[in-house]
Amino acid sequence: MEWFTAIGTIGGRCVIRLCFVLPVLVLGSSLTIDGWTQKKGTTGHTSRPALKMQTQATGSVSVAFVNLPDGALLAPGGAGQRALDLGQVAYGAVSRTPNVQIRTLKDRMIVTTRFGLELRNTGAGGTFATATVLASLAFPDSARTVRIEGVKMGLAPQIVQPRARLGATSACRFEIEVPVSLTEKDAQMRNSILFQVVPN
Amino acid sequence: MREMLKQAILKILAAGWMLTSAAAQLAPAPAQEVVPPSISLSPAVIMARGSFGQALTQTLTMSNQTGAEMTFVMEAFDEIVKDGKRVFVPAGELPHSVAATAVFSQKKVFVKAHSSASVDVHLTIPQETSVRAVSAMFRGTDVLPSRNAVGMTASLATLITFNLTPNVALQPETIRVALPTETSNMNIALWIGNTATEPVVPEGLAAVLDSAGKLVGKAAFPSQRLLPGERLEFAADFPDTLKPGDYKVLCSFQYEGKTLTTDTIFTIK
Repeated sequence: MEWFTAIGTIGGRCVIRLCFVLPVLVLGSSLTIDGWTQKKGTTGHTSRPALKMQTQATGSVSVAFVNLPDGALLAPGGAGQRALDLGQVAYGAVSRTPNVQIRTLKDRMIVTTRFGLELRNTGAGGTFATATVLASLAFPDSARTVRIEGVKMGLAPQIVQPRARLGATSACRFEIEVPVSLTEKDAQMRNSILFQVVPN
Repeated sequence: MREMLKQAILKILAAGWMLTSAAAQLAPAPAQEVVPPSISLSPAVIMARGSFGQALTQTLTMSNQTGAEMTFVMEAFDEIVKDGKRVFVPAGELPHSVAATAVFSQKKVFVKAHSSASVDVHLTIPQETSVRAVSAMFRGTDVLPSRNAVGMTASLATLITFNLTPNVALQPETIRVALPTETSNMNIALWIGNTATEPVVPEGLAAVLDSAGKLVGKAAFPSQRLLPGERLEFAADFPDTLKPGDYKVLCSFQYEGKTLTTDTIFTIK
């Protein structure tokens, strides 16, 4: 019973027993160590480097496909998703689509038109005035050669405009090369161009 | 007494209302700019400072102001300069790739029409790397099924740059002055190369001095970001008309607490 009593008296003096002192010392020690460790970690103690980088975020970039006065009509579908109406693309065909030019050569025909790419900085501030525009095909097309701004398209994105100005509409030249061998039945192009815009 | 106080309060309120309505009538109506429906990403650029081994987490928000739901897949690319041109390298292909450390809070993002969606990106800088830029991309995956038409799908990326050391240096080339013509202003241009390891966004000014050393005009160069190894032309139009005589053009660029100056002389006949 005496063991559980923390404070007793011996010879008239007040005595704190060891069974009480030891747990208090252990608890105090553990609190001290953990407390300092936590403090170091959370308040950025000067002896340890900060884990997070300082960042400055600016601007907002937007993109829209837009009709050009001398370009083929863009079918509706949302400005981030549009379709360029080229009509039937087959050798010997005559373009009945406005602003779509067809040039017939000996072994192939070349269909050309233009569309607009409108880029803006719609946010506050920003340390960029231009953006890189890349493009690629959504699906492989061995029958036709597609070029944007003269750059041959494949499945891997290619830079078509390295410094497209923000706040302006860039005219993009679109070209499809169709070989003689392609019949009118196979001439329907079911593909998409995937555009990527990265601020500079 | 109470009635007088009430009337005074009413007068003050009335005067306040009149002032407010007068101000509202005088203030010009905000210009209604016609903006086509588009998709937009915020922020466009994140400039991070720190050291190797550190990390950053940033929230990217894609807004869809079109009438259709759009789907995006999150991807990260290391952005480097190779043979003078920017190259976008898929994550993990470069040694010590930063893009390979990218962790997105969600891999696939649906953004409803006239709505927005946010994704957190977490990047950790390796203990050793020469990569100083990453593009975090919302890659559009909706491909329009179309007949006799070519579908077009847009993707947007946020550029994230890292300044990890104090090693910054720019190398200017010769200033070229294109004298004014009847149809064009005088143009001052020079190429500048980033010869060090960190990205910089120099802010430049061209000052034109006459033969007595007096300032006769100045023009600002539009600021451009130079990644390590990149070389770009900085050009500014000088709109003022100069009298015939000898002049000196002094070009000064501020970057990362440093100043780069270079000059040349030219003659207006």
